Amino acid sequence: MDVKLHKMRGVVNKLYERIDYLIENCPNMTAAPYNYNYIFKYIIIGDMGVGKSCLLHQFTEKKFMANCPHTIGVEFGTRIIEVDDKKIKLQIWDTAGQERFRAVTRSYYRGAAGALMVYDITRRSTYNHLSSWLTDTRNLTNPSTVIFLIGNKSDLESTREVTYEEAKEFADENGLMFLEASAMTGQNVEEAFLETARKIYQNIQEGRLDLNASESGVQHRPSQPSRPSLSSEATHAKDQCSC
Amino acid sequence: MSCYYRQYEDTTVTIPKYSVESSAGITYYDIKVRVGNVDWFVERRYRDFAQLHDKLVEDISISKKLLPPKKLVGNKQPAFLEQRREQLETYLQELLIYFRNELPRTLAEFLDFNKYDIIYLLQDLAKLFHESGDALLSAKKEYSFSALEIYAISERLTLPCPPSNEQGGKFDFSHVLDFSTQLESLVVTPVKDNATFVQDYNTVDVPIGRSNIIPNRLSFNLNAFRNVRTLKFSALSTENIVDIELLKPTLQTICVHNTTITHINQVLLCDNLHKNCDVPSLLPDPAASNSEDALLNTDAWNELTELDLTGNLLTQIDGSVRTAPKLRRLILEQNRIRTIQNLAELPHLQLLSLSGNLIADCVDWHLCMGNLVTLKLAQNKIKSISGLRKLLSLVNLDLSCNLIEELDEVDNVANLPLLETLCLTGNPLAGSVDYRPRVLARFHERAAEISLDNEPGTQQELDTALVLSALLKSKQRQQNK
Repeated sequence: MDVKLHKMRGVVNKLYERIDYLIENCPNMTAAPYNYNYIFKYIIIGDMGVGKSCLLHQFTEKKFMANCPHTIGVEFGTRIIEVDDKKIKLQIWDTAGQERFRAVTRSYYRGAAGALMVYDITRRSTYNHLSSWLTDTRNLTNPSTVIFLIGNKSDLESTREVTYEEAKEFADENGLMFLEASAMTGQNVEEAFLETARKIYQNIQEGRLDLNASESGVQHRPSQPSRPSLSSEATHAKDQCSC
Repeated sequence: MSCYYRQYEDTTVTIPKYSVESSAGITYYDIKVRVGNVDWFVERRYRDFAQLHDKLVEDISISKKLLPPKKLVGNKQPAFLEQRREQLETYLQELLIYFRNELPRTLAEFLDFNKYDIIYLLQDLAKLFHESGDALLSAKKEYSFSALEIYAISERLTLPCPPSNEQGGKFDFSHVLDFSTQLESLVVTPVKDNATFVQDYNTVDVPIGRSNIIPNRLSFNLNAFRNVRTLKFSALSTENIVDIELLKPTLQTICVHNTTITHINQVLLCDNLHKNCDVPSLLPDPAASNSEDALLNTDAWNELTELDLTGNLLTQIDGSVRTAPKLRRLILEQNRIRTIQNLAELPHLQLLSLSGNLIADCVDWHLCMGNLVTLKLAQNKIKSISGLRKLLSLVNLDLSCNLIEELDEVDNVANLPLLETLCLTGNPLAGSVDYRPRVLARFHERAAEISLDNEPGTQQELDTALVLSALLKSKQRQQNK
């Protein structure tokens, strides 16, 4: 039954895309001026000082932010990426790690399509707290939320306290995606954000994620009408259009 | 600014009075809303109540009987109006108890929560940016926020209140942040679209609308605007910013107009409590150790190239300008500055405008600034310009509307090798006979290259200047002998 439902949803989601495509290429219909097809909502969580804001900054600005101040409440960043020729806008909520902001942090879990859970490979305590972060995430997000575990500060090999193998095992046990990354050098930062998006996109394609549910963390938008193209496919689409 | 989300238990709605507009005979009920320390008034007539009620009945199916009924005859009698005032008051109070911590939009709008409350004001903003944010950004990367809106955004980031997905998510706070993170030029004024505020900076203590919220007493951070390159404050002091650290490394232009600030440190060190301490030099010092350098650089405006503080009450150029070592344009027009200081450590400075200040002397200015290209000193009280004689890089010099009387003063700038434009109009000297040729004569063979008072010399003027110049030279030679 579930499998059938998923298949149906996958078909419906693909239909949406087809409709978009037609709207885009149909000269008589005006589409809303969006330059992306989807919005994915992300949340970044983890203990204080593990480098959540720095990861976000590295991802959005491609720069390392030294002397990053403590986050107060939440911060926000966006970037448009491309998965499978689809433009996806990531809306990333970067939360405060400090205990006193836990209520604020918790209120942002709802409706996240992706959760990046960060620990610091040079501080074992931040790794030990992962299970409590994971419980929060599982309780407050929906089942289709993609959780990605990031071991940050991989450039500080000499002071490492958590081995890759240990964390990998934890990730596998809990069904999380996992990478070690460095906000300072930028290593694996892109990969972590992009892999999450790919996984979410895959979930949409396979119908595991209901686009119409308000809490899915994904919004679908028809993209901007593209410049008239002369490719055979585009003209073909025009022929089919009845308007 | 009110925060109903946090203080709904400390919220009251009353109708202290009603008033009858004599000409049209319409009765207005004056509603007072109080949330914590914040209160405001809204004027509504019975018809508005009825409309609100219809909508609430339709959308949320509250009891139809809650609102006191319509009366067709005798509805102007004081006794009746007084009774109705009480009934309407009870009605609103019951609604508030019924809805508790989240007001429906119709009720929030009826009570002007969308003008004065963080959550509801941002819902309006979210809706706007949801619908036209992309269009606004593609047209112009500049947007003007009111102090209240900036305050709401900054406070909202610390509220444990999730973004709402109600009504297709158009009121979702992420639309606001999405917009603000993409914005390149941020304009902040006390109240939106109100020209009178910009004109008169004595109005800064005037509350917003019919509330007790005073824009100049709202403190906020600018963390939501992390890609802003240009910051413009108008009629609002930058001291309202409590944290600007995140913007320091990237901000390129700061403009502050029509405020009562008296020191530049109120702008450049706006979030620093120790404004009055002497700012250490930021110029690279080979003796200084590396760790110390890093410490200083965190306080520096490393990208700031333009600072425009026109129309304030500045009295001096204080040491805080040293925190912006890359400054190229410094505009301090219409202030109360008497002398220049602290410019020696701005090696990139190309334009300095001090028009409309109280400068009377300029002594040895070449010791303070080396690479200046444009200097504007219009509308000051300068008599002698001998201090400008060695500003060798100067190309444009505006001295209009000062007190220069002697023609000989021109000699001080006549030997500046790169000078091209000179403005002397409005000085006593400009009223004398044959003023233009006589000034041009001082430049001798360069006379034709000079644009005086925005126009180059005519052929006739240049011919006269040539004769005068020859006379001057022969006179000098005689003196030398």
